[in-house]
Amino acid sequence: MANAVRILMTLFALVGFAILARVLAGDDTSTQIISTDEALFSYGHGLRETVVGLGILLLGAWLTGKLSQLVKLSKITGYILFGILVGPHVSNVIEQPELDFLKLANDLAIALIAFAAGGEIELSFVKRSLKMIMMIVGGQVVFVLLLVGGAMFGVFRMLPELGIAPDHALPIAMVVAVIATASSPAVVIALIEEMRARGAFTQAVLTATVCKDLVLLVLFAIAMAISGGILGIDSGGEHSLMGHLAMHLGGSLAIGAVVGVALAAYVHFVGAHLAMVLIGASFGLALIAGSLDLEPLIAALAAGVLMRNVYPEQTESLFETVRELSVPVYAVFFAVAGCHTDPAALVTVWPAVVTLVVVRVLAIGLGTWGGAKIAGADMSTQRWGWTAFISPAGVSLALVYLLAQDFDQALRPEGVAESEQAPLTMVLISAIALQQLVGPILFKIGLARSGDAGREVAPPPSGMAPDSADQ
Amino acid sequence: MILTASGLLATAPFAVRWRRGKTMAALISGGWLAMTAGLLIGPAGLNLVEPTTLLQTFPLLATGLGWIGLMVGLQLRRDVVLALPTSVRHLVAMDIVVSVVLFGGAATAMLYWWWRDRAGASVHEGIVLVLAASVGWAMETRSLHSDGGGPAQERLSIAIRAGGSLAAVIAITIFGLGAVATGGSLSAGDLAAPGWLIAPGLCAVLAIFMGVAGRFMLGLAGKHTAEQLAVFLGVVAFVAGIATELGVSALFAALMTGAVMANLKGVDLRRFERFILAAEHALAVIFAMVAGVLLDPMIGWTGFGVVLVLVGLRQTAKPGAVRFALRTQRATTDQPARGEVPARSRLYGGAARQSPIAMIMAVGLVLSHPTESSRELLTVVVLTGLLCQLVTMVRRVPAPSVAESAPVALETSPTVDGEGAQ
Repeated sequence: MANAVRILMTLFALVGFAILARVLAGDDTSTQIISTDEALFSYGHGLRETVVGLGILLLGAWLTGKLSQLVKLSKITGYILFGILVGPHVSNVIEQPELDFLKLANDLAIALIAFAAGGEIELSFVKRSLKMIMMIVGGQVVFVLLLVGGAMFGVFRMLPELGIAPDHALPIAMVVAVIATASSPAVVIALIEEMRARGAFTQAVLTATVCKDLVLLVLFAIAMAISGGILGIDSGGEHSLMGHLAMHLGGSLAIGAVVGVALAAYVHFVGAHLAMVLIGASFGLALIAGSLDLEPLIAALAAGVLMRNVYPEQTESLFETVRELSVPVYAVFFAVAGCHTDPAALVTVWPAVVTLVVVRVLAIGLGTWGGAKIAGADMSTQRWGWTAFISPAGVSLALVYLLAQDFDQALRPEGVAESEQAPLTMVLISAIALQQLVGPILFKIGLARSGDAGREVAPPPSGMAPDSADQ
Repeated sequence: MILTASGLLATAPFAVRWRRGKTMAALISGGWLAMTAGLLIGPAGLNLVEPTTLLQTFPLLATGLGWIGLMVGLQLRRDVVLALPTSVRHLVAMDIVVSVVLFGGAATAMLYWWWRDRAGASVHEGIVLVLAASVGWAMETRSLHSDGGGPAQERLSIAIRAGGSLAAVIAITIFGLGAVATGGSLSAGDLAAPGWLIAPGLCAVLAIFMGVAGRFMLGLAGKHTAEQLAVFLGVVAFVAGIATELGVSALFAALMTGAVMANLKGVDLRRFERFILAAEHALAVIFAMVAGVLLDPMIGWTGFGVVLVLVGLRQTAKPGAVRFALRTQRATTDQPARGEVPARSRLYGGAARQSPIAMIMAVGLVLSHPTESSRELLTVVVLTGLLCQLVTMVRRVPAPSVAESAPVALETSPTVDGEGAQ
């Protein structure tokens, strides 16, 4: 109790200090500082403030994670909650321009999380359990597409305030259903590490989540192309050109393989400054993937899988370094995800949100249970496997924004200004927010009930191998 | 940039071997190789990285400055500072006087003259930077050791290193306070007040708050490296961010925070310090590269003249001042002399070399004021450092005269002498 009070006091003091500094510094320190002399560069609004934003998110999310552990919740729930509270939609301590600049930190986090996820996947396990993984993923995809698609079609017809024209209802429901199939490998990997889980259940759900990510990209491209065709909208970009899909996925895998081999060689021949080199590689991967229009998550996953399965001994220290970087990375990543969440949206569109969430959970549950049962998976995977797939992926939000951007005309009812979000966008964002909060709690329960939690041997308390001590 | 930095870091294990040679020790310790790499990929070379692109990574660079500041501040444990020999404190005091009088005066005259036709140039900030950069010297002494120096030589080497470390703290403080004094105003609503009045006070409050909060959070983190790293990065980013918002140097604010953390009881910081210090080389490489990219080699003859004056002053004044300060520190009590320093040594010449922290402060100035003048100042500081390094490497030391040949007692603390704590 005393610790909780201290944590809360520290949290309030941190936020208070930041607000005080901003009040004293005025609205626009950047232009004030470079008002004289021949400016070489003008900092955009929010760039300087991003430094303190990063500090608040790191410390605040970390402290809230500790608080949530005290009340037996997952740390990730705490990270997300803190993000929601300080984000632009609630207290605006972290403003939207800062979030835009924090994209760099987010890209780094995605790459590192994907490295870690890739490092957890054993190809021997995938080979052995290919049938089970395919059944689970297939079961989920089929049930989610059918149930969520059907439910959303009904919601669009019954709730005219969402502004979806009757003839648009089916294609848009299909795209929404595809987005609903996405699950978060980041939450899964973070919770597995938090709970120090090991075992068949853990391996199965992690591998299935990662595989589903690959399936999602293909499905989304197909759904956007079909829906765009039905609605008569040229959705533009790579998702309208099926021919680019293979290049998109193939290119991501190829880049990942190159980075994986390079990192393994570095660790084997040099082995120094691993943390810095890993951070550099993650940034590099994110930047290269961004400029080539590839998927950084898949590229980093491929690198991780390759390193773990082809050079397991050489890269052990590298994955240990990834683990050491995990806490700050997860804190920022999930807090930023929380910042993007708008709880107010939930109030206005709650019937649609509740329907979407309930039906999605039901569909995932049925799909996972059915797939696992047919494949003859162990009982814990059959019973508790679904809990791993409730948290929506980071990519879900990106896909929602892509949908909102490409199908803006079809989603926006008359009278809704362009500066405002379309009602369906609010529904999807609110549903993601709700599941982001609930998902980690459910998976924590699932891990505990499966018996995998706490089975990984904890590292020695020193935790400071000479190679990994270079953060 | 990432590839080059990774490449340079990849050479780290080999660099340890190369540093056994005196020339390579001087080159690597000064960060000149990384800086040259930065220059090559920057606009002065292949133009692969634009300074404006680099400045977009401001949050990361500011956090890096905070990291360095905290790293220096954590060394300021009261017991360590008190254990410093009086002679080292006198040595640093003498250096500060010399720097303020000679370099401060010279910087004022030269910068007013150099930028006389340039409206709005930040002359005051320039003076502060040149003054702060002139304080202290490079701590690296390996490249200056001669064979058979004996214990007197070793004692001098320790004094140079300890003096350099203490002077780096003073330099950052001068830079931090000077930047605040020459900065703008802070205002809360209608109540505007000069920044120099509020900002240092707030910085002190921030340091105390973050010191106490940091200790508490480290206690919560326990012995988990990942948790400690989260706290450390958060503290660094928060302090650097608040300092940036207040218009104060992130280096200075983090130094104060580190000093507070180091002097609070309760949590063992040794493990924490170990992984902070482990990043020293990587940070040095990154900042040297950033400096290389941000350099503006076209400073003209006037700028080059400023560099030559500064190099001349360092070469003439610094070794003499150090030698004078140490040689006059004869034991003033009746106790037998606790140690001696040689009459002549290349190590005295080492004091002419610029402290690496000077380059970090200059990069900090460009980051906080990204103007052409700031880039020119960075170039002046870097060129001064490089030329001083080169001159020191080739400089010969004359043999001592008969009168000078007797070693002079240097009052050193028992801790430094290895004779145990008092």
